[in-house]
Amino acid sequence: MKKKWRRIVIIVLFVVAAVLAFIGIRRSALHETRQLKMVLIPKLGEGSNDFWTSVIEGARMGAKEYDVDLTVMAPNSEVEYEYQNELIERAIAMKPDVIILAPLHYENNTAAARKIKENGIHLVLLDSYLNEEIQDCFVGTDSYQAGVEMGKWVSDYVEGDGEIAIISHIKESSTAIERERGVRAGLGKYEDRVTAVVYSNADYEIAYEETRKLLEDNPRITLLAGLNLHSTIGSARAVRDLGLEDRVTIIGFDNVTEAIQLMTEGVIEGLVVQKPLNMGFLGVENAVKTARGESTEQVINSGTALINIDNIYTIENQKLLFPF
Amino acid sequence: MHMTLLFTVLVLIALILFLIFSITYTQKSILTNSNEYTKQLVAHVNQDIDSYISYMENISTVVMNDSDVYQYLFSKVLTATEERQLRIRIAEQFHTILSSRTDIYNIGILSDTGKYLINDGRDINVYSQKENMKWYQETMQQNGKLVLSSSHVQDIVSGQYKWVVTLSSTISGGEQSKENGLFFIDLNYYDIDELCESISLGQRGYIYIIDSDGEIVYHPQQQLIISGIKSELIEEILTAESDTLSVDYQGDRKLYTMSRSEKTGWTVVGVSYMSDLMKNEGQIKRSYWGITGILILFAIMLAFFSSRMITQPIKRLQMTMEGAQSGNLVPIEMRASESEIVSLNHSFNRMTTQINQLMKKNIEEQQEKRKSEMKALQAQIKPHFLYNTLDSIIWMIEVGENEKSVEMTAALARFFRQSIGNADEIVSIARELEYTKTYLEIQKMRYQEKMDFVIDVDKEILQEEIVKLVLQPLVENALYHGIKYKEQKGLIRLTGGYDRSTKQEGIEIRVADNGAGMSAETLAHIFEQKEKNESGIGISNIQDRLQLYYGNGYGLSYESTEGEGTTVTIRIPKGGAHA
Repeated sequence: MKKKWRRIVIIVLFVVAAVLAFIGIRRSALHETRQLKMVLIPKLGEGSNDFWTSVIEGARMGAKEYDVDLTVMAPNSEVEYEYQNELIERAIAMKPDVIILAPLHYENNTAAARKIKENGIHLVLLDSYLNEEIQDCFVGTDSYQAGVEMGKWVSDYVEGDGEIAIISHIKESSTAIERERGVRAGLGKYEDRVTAVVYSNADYEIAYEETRKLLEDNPRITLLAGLNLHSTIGSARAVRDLGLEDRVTIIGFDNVTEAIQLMTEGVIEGLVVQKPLNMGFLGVENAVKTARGESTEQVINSGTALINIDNIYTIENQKLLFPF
Repeated sequence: MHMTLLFTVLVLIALILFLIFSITYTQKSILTNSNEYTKQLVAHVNQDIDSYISYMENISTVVMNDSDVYQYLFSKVLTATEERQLRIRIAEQFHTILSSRTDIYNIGILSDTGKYLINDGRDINVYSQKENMKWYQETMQQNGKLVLSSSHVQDIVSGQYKWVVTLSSTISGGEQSKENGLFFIDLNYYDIDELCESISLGQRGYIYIIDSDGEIVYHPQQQLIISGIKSELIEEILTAESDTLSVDYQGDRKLYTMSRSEKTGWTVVGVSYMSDLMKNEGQIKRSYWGITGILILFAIMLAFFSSRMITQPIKRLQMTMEGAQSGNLVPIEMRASESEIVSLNHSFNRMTTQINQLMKKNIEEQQEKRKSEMKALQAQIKPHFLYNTLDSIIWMIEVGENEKSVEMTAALARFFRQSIGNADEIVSIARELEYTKTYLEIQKMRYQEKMDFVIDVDKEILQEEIVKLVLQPLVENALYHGIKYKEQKGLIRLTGGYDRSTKQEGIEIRVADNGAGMSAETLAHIFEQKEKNESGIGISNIQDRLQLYYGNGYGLSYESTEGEGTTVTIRIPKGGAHA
């Protein structure tokens, strides 16, 4: 009787051991290869404009690099912050590890963003801030710093009594607010030359119109600071169409092929260009670090470049200015 | 129990060894295979590019040496019509080239004087920055040699900023003119990009291309590298001696495989991540573990069942044999499934049956022996003879024959002393004769009128041995079956001696009487008599004892004539040799 029991016990032990080993290996393997899941909600989707297309491309590069399951959901225009809130809700329901968000509205996206954190999901802000510090970290161009650079640059072209006009974009976006602040700071003693601030609402047409009106109303304006792409292009087109290239100097923000062309034509003097590919990549990179519990900087600056006619075709700038 | 354990341990060891070898071999296999694959891939890409460029070079040479081109660019004496015609012809040529291959974006010629023709007559970009660009500068430097550029944005064509790789060369105006021209052909960089991007080297692996100056022609993360966010091996690739390299990277290992083109000066590099290759390894390891786990289970079950089949029946056999040792001989119940054990079982059962039988036989023989001993003892006591003799003594005393009564009593005492005092089965013939003589003396005292005896035995056989209680009963028989029925006085003669008639010397003792004798029939069945005489011993008993002791060649033999007498011959071997 005793012998039989002993045998049974040993057999059971072996079986248990074997099964445990099996499970153990499986689990450790699973642990290794558990993929991080992330959702990216940019301001605009792929193909809409070069900037956000590059951001998304950079994010995908990061996803490949870090083996991340990345989903991209985007609004169709930069005023659709309500829709963006909806997208945030949808993203939360997908239960990702991290949501990377580029909020359209400084205030009106905050509530939805808070819900992200409440659901135990990490939040990485891209490009723009919210009015509350909810995020785990921020990746983007230091808008203020960029503005300062722009301001300094603009101040180089101040002549005589020339006045400065700021062509901003969306009044309530953090980028607009910060950049303007930066420009003013960068202008230093010339800040009082800023006599007009108009808003393009990220629309070429509106930028065009506003600029035209501005220039027609005030012939003393000799410098234009375009705070974003639409503002820059719209105002540049207006300057060209009015034939005022010689009178007016434009320092703009962001780039697109047309901007380069306008630069080569002498309409635009200089561009402060962001690095959207880097932003996208760094966004994912830091999201991965956050999800893994590794420490990151609170603010990661994806950087800017100052482009003028002389350095368009340097190796560094070519890739930056002419994405595929 | 030990068997199961041993078996399992052995199997475990075997399986673990198998596991280790398999995994190591598989690992090596994977690595070697992927290296091979990458090498081939990278070499192939290089070949593709080489043939691509070769083709371009051929076209370029054709165009550059075309007289129309030369005329158009440098001739001072062209009319407008001639110029137009030249342009048309050149444009047609360009058109043919452009339509033959979709990966040519632009093909064009320029001169210092501002003459140009691009594609089908595209406008040149007046704001072009070409003079600041590397491809142009190097072309100017190389003066007449075809120069292959790295990837760049082409801005020569108005309104177009495409990524290309340019093959270009200066065209000399000849000795007459100091002018120079430029020929260029732009290759679609997107195709190279797509080709390289489509190559799969594991999940994270990729390809990149650098030119002889270390500039990146293609890299999936080119901009990140330029921005400094990521870095890539450039120097190491250019200076590498072998065509593979491996580098530790973030706890992982990156494997670089290079292929350099003589033609283009470009190096195609294939990069794969060890962990991507080993990801499968993880899966494989898991599968191996799983299989091992299952095999272990099977092995254990097998060990368990097979040992059950072997050890259990052996145990039963063992226990039963132990029981047999202590006298419990029970055949074991057999189960047909265990073949070797079954035959063992059979043998054991046969053995026990045989033993049982032998024991039984032994017991029976013992019993028989005891019976015979009892009989012999009884025979020795001879109650009837005692009673009768005592009666005779009493009668003699009663009639006052005192001397005779004393004699008889003494003889009787002598008789019993001779018989009972001796427990041996074998006595000397002398003794047996003495005993028989005493008996005869007593009987003569009783029946003196009726009988007489003579003992005439060779002295030489007296010291020989004989089974006891043979002579006396035969003499008794002679008396009661022979002499008794004779009317006159009977005579019993005892004779004996060596019998030298046969080869084997024997001893013969004869008891002859001249009594009634036996009928032939009686004689024939003499040994079958169950009748016992006064002593309680019958002839068959004597015969049995003799033959039992000496063997079947010896014993009694009877001769008898009815009315005349009977002689019984006792035949025993010499020297007491017994069966």
